[in-house]
Amino acid sequence: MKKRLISLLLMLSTLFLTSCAQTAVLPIARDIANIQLMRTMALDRGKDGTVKVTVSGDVRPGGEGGSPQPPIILKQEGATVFGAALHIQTYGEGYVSFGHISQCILSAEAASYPNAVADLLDFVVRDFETRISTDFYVTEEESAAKIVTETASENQSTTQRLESLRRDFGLESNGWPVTVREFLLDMSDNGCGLVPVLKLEKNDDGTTIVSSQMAWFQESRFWETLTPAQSREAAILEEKMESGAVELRLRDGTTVGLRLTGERCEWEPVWQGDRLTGLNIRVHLTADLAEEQGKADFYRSEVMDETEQRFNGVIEGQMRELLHLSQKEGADFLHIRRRLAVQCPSKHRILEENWDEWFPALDIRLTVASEIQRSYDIARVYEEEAQ
Amino acid sequence: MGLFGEQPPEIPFHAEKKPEFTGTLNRDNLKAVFSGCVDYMERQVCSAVTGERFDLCWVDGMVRGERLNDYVIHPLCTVALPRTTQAKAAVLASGTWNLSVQERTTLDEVVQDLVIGFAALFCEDGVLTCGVATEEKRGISPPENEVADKGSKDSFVESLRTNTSLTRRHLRTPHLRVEEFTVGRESRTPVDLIYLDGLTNQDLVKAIREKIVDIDIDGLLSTGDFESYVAQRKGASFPQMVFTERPDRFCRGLLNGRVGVLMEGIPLGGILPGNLAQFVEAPQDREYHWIIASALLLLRYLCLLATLLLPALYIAIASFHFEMIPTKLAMSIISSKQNVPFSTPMEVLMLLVAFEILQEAGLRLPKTIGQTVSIIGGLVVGQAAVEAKILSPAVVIVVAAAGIAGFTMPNQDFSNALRVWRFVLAALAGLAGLLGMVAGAALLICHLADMESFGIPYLTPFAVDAGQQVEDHAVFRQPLWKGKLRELWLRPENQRRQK
Repeated sequence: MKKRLISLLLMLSTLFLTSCAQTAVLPIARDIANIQLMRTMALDRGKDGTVKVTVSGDVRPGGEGGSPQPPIILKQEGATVFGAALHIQTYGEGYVSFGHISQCILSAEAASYPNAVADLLDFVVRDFETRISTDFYVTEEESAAKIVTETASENQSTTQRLESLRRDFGLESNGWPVTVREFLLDMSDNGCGLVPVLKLEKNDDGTTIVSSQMAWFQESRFWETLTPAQSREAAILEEKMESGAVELRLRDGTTVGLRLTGERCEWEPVWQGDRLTGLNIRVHLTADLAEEQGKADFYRSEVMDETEQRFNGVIEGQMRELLHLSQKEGADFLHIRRRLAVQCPSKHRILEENWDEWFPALDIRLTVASEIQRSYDIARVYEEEAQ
Repeated sequence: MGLFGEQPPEIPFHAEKKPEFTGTLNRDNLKAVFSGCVDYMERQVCSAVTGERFDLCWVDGMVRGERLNDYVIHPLCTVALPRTTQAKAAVLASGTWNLSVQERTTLDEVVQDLVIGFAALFCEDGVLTCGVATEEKRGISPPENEVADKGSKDSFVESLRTNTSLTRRHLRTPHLRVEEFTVGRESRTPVDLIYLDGLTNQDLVKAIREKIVDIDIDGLLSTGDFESYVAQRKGASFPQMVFTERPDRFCRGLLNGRVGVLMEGIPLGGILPGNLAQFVEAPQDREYHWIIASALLLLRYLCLLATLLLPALYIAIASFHFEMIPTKLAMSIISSKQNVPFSTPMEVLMLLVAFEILQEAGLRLPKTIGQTVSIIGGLVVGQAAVEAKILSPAVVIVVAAAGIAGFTMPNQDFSNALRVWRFVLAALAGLAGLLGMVAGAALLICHLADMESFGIPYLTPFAVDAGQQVEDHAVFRQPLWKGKLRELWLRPENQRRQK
């Protein structure tokens, strides 16, 4: 009996291990019915170095028979993101929860200060509610808040649009979604990272968000934006491409649309003793002939060969540009060093110590090979049957 | 001052008087014992051959009239008894035709015989009691609560001897031992202890025998009257003895090295010792292919967790840890709880209580009305409560899912214990979220780990054998040909089940 009593008391004592509050014995209950879930957070810099935080919820159901309500958007300014978030608490209808924020947008302007990203994302990393798996975006619009405020409507919230954008990234392969965790890991590796860029686009239905390129961060701040083509080549080299379109014009004037279906990249370091002198990159692409406008006969091997050569040439040219940019700026945003260190773990330390010196002068030899699948030509089958 | 008022004065133990009736053995004293009993009968029988007179006494309803007539009165009247001065010896030799005749010398013995269906025959020089008890009983019918798909369709009845015969028909071995005890000062219920000699651990038999002998109550009329006194952990809500109405399951227990208990008037067989796995296993598990049986067993264990933890988990998540659920689910719950006036813990506890009331009402009413109550309570009132925004649909789904998961437990006693703990865990979750729920679950595990039934840990097979592979049954059921050994933790004398 005594043992049981002691066990019971010991178990009850675990209730004191809440660690959240010094005064309260038990955790504080917040009923889910009184919670306002915020889904998207936009961060901008205000005057005097303050931080402007804009958070937005999702479209709210309108109740029985009622029309849906536009998402709640709350804005506050503070010396820190935490301070602004705390001010926001006082304006919500219930407890404003940041625990379900799944997108964080940073304006390029706010991110261009030295160490800006580390400062602004610190709240997301530290706060017990926010998730490190939150998607991370940057925008070159005048403010990140504009992305949130101009796209929210009764029918769609910024969150919904960004979620749909995330799913569709792979369709064009001009970028890929990056989470705060992935971004910070990249930054901690060599101070460089790629983040998708959001833009506002006006069309007949209103304003919507698009993303067709990646931005490059260095030294914990926004550095430059890659072109859509460079972004696609980065996706290929990172093997994050799902599909994508490449349009070519052949010698006879035929326009060809190719659908990228797969990529494989091989990275082979060239060592001279303990010195890395070169890098051979072999890229193998597969693509489908999606469309042709012209008179080229793709049943002829020479036409297919010409298509493949042109396709390889286009990809290779853009890839060289991207690698050259990376070398010229001394910014390894493709994380080549990390890749080589994984391949040669014994050279990890030497690569780390000498990379800054070796990388700009590295002799990079790029080879692009491709395999294009000719689709089934139904018209030709009919012709053959008729003959 | 006690919990329910003033403490009553201590009542001294009433020692059992033995023998109970001490007078001289004669008809008048016997009649005095049964004074005020309209069912006490007497008559005088006169031998047509010798003219000798005998007094016959019995308790009406306890004896079968035809037997009394044919086996006692008829031979006494018509058979020429041997000429001897000892009438009692003559009657014993050829004056009665029934199987059981005993010579009695004390009033107490005769009284005890009469109440169990004997007739007392007063001769000039002594008293004989003749076994002419009635055997009126319900016929053997298919089991009602433990449905057998492919198993035998017989079930225990209220007659103890019929139940022992059913056991013997399933286990036609001379090693089957049946020991009988009488329990209950007033009910004098025969209780049979059944085991297989040479297989069952004799220490286990001895321990259970001692427990039965120690029972000193006024009447044994239900399984609880027995289980409560045999159970080693009396304060536990979890059952410590398996009751089954299926003789095949009862015999399976005996074959595994357990001890069976049958009681007069109770159409169930008890199997001892009881452990957790036994309450989750269903008799059908051995009827199906091992893959199917394993899948069903796994499903039952998952249902055990669901019925126990689901309401508590919902309370913890909805009241304390809403960050941990997927966003879409959180939004769906928020939207379903709009305008509901109660907090989540209150909502869940209210609905749990309503669910229990509904279940209890359904059990107490006749079957057809019970179904109506379930439909009205579950569908109509539930739907109305959701539409009136008194309850949120999510809570209804959670509580209903937990309730339905509880119904998958093959043992009602075990299911009832889970129902009690479901409330405890839900209340703790309402108090401290996941922390409270986990503390409650830890308390439950400690409680179960602390329980033993005749030396067998309650959490068997999960808490025995020092992590060795469990033969036959655990969360999965092995193919039958692979389970070579019996349950070793029962320490059977014959450990091997098959070659």
